[in-house]
Amino acid sequence: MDTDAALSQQLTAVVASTPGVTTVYATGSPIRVVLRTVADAVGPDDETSAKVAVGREADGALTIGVTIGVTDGAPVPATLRLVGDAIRGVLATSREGTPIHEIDVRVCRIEDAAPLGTPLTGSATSL
Amino acid sequence: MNDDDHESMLDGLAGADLDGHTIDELSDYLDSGREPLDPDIEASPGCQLALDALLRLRTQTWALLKSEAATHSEQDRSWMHAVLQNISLEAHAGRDIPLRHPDPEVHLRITEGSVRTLIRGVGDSVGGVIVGRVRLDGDVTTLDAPITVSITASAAFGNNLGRLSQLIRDRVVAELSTHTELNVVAVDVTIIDIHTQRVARPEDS
Repeated sequence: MDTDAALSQQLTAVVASTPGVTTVYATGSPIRVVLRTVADAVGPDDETSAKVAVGREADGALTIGVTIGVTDGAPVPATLRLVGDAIRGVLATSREGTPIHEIDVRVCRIEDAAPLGTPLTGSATSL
Repeated sequence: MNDDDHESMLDGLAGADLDGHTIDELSDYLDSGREPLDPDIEASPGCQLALDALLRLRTQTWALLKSEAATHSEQDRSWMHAVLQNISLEAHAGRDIPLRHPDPEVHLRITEGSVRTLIRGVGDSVGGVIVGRVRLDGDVTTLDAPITVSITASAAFGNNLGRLSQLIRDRVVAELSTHTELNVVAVDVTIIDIHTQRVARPEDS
């Protein structure tokens, strides 16, 4: 498995476990193209776990793209910032020294919050 | 309203593109209890937004509207058709609405479609109200640009329409201030139809 594919899997898991995130989507035409490349690299068995687009600029700088669903049980901007910071954290540790061109986090669905009493944590669905 | 009426209400939406699906396919999917599970629909944000809105419509208020449409005017049927069509249109991602982040390399965005569906949900949660259409007017792609939210709705007969509109307006403003950084300068609520609140009879459904 190449390193970008492994990074995609790692980021997908981190984003999916971020509080407030309900779903990690593999959608959007530019992202989908990249994901196909990732899926080819990791094999079909691992395709469902690599939803975050990992691209490279000409100079090797990383471009990260993720599309998510979130709950309205927490302010969406706060959830988005948590996701952005989580991705930043992963890159800082596992790709230290690699320049970052862009981290793009996009919410495409805001879901009704879970019933009262349900903790705002737990694993998100990865579609 | 029987199944034939339901199908005819959805006529004309076949061309609507929700990642290759149509609003009537999604309605049928809900009717089947989402069984068998369709991974393509479940993995499509646009389909999920439309399903969210369709689910919210399946309330007693919508059932009453359907029963009225079956026995009353073509206008009622047209209005309900327009609601379904708008759900389909609003579920499209649309423009990207930016959020601030101190790191210039981090770009945070919310799709216009998700915000429209959020607003529709807020309106539909107000008792006796069915939202017809939601529109965001202004350059939502630019931070701090002035935005006007335009909502049309049907309200139950007997409500104080002024108070009802204000309630919708207040809830929409609260939700948008919580979940977006839009500079909302106005929320225009237009009640374009009145429906009755009589109790549905079994034969209506």
